[in-house]
Amino acid sequence: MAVVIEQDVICQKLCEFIQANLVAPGIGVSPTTSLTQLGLDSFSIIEIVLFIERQYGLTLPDVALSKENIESPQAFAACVHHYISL
Amino acid sequence: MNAQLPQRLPLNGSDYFQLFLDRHHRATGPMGNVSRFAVYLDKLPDPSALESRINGDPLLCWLHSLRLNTGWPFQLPRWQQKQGPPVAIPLRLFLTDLSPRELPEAIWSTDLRAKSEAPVRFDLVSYSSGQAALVFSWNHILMDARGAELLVRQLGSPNTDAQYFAPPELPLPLMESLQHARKVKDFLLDGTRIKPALLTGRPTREYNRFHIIDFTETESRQVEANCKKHLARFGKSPVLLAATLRAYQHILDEPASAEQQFWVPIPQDQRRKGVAGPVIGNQVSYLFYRLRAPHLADLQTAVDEISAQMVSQMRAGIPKSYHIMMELVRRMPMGLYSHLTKSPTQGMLASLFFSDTGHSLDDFTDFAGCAVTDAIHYPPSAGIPGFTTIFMSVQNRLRAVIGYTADSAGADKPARFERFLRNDLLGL
Repeated sequence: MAVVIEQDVICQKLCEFIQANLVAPGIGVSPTTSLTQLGLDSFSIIEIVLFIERQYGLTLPDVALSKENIESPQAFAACVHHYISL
Repeated sequence: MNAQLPQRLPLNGSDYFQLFLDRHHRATGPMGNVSRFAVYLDKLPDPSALESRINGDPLLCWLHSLRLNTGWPFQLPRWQQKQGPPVAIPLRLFLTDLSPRELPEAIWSTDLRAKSEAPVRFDLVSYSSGQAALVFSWNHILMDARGAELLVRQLGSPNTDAQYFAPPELPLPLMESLQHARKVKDFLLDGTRIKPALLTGRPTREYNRFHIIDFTETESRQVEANCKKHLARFGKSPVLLAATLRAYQHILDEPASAEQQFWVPIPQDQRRKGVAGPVIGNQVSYLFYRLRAPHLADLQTAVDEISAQMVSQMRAGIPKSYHIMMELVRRMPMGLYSHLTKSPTQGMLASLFFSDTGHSLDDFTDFAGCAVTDAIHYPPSAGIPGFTTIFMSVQNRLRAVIGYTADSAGADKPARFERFLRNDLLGL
């Protein structure tokens, strides 16, 4: 039986990963935090993509990494959830 | 003296690499590893008020009092406060008829010798047009370009809550550090000898010349759109690098041979995001790109290859391992360090130096009550490889600054480089 991963759970994991690995201590990351405004660069996006790969065994296609999909943890999670559900 | 500012500050691994570059630049070029950040203003700020502001900044006074002490072999090199009464930070004022943006020759020829001179300097240029430029020069051993931006912006707007120093790192067990160093060595050598494709392999004692490639705001948006078209899934930087390497290949005197590679180390800012800092100390590790002529056949192929190498290195943890290796070897005597660092490329280091400072200057619009009309990073004079490209975005306008020597890219090469680069980036 396939395990269903909730979008909220993915979003929570993404927030935890970004908070622990990419932003300075004391900087809060919520589902709606703008990743652009946090100053995340190309390398940070790769770190997140590799985290998703490790966590869910999912390689995101090029088209998934649009500006809109990586705007916030929530948007990123929706994109990941979409590809996991395919 | 501010109690938070120490009397001594050991160099981190990335600083020590810049010390190595300082020696390399002195051996192959006209001066050491001196960078400049020029802030162009709509009017001349009051020079004495600006001088007072500079001398009233505890961090700047502390930086001005530092001298480099390399110590004994195997001892950690460090910045140390110069003994004696405090010396005021001078602000040189130049009155000039040069066209706004050009800087007086005396600024370019001022060296900053870290052992005997202050590692920071300020110059103010007053143009006959009424405009002005504040030029911050610093020895790169002290900080990177992002740190310099933060420092200068803090001087202009003192309310900025900048973090000065990086938190101390917990040392790794020696065996673990050695494993990381081994991984880097295996990656760099990769079973093949690196023979960089170069414009020049001859040391030259010339100062840098600069060629500045400006994109309008509309063109900058066009570049962004073109990057999306080329499926730059990890942002604009891979496209900027791809276009730079293709333009560089275009101006080589002879096509790169089958065994030659376009070998480029790329700095990766290791700062945690969300805060302004750290200001002091170089906070970068590196990725290394190795491309051959067929990879540069068209822009899409070049972007795909660069993106693939980028992901592969991030997945393998190369920047992290290189950082750990730099921390490990910073006690090594410079002669041995230099030999080990230069040996993979037989002393050439790279085909060219490249960096992209991103969008950190898009919101830089005022400095000490003056409107900022522009801001430009100028790279150090590098005799070898003799060609440096820095991309930056200032007030939403993209720009590339090319630092080169006449020996590497004289005659019409900078103009040819620009034409090729613009065509690629604008998708023409």
